[in-house]
Amino acid sequence: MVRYMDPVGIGIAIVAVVTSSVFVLYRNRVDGTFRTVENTTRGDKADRTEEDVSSVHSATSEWQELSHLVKEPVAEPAFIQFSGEYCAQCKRNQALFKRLNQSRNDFRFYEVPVEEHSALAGQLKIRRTPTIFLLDPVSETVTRTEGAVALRELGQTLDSLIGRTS
Amino acid sequence: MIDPRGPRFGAGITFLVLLFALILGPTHGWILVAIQAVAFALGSIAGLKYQPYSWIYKGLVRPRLAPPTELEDERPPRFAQTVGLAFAVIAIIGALPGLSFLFYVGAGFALAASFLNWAFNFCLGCELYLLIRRVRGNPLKAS
Repeated sequence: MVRYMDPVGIGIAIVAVVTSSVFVLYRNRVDGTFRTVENTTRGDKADRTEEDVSSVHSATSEWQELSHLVKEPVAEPAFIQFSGEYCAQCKRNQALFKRLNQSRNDFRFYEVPVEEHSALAGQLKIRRTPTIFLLDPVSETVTRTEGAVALRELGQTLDSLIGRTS
Repeated sequence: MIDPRGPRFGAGITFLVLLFALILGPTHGWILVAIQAVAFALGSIAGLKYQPYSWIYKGLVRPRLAPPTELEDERPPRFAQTVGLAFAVIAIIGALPGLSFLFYVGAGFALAASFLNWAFNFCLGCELYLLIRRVRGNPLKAS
């Protein structure tokens, strides 16, 4: 039996399994963590590269597009989730936001079907569903995350946002 | 609409078949890849209900499980079968003398994709299908 075994093939199999496991573990780690586009542009204005400046414009345009989308003034932190029709994780996230809303009502949650806003989804570079944007009404900044969110992290994100802005 | 647990079960069998194929290497393993290619081709061309692993799932596994809590569209996992078929064909070509690297590349990628689906419920081909639809501006809608 051993003489039929191919050491290169065994090596490739190990690499494939390890690489895909690392990929999923990394994805699970970054999913649900809100990241802001503007973080990359902090610092002295003169130090900003052309790319940084375009990131600021991109964040501003994100705010405009998203606040326009909800069709009402953004007075409190607002989560906007872009969901797909057959996206099971979107439904799980939706249930989680509902649960969070039962314990606190200092935020808004909107769900946007990506199928009906494909042009905007392209503009916002949405590559996965769910993609969730968090609008901060005070600083008018937008942060975003993708995939599964956790109740505890959502609460902490809101706490830090509200604590910072109050 | 299909039971999403079916393709995941199929991914488990696919993983085992491709794992043994890689362990055997291009000289003998191509036969297993060819068998897997036929399964992929049936799922891709005829539909998932004609995929042999879905017969096993329907006949032996599903009767022992509770009804699915959600159903999913057949198109993304069917596209995933097409992607799998492409990798399998590359791997079979790799059985030719001097082209063994193609066997490792094709079988390796297909193994990684099936492992992702089976172990983590992450269907790479389905994600690719949805991404292509979204980028082309015609995302998948409920039928």
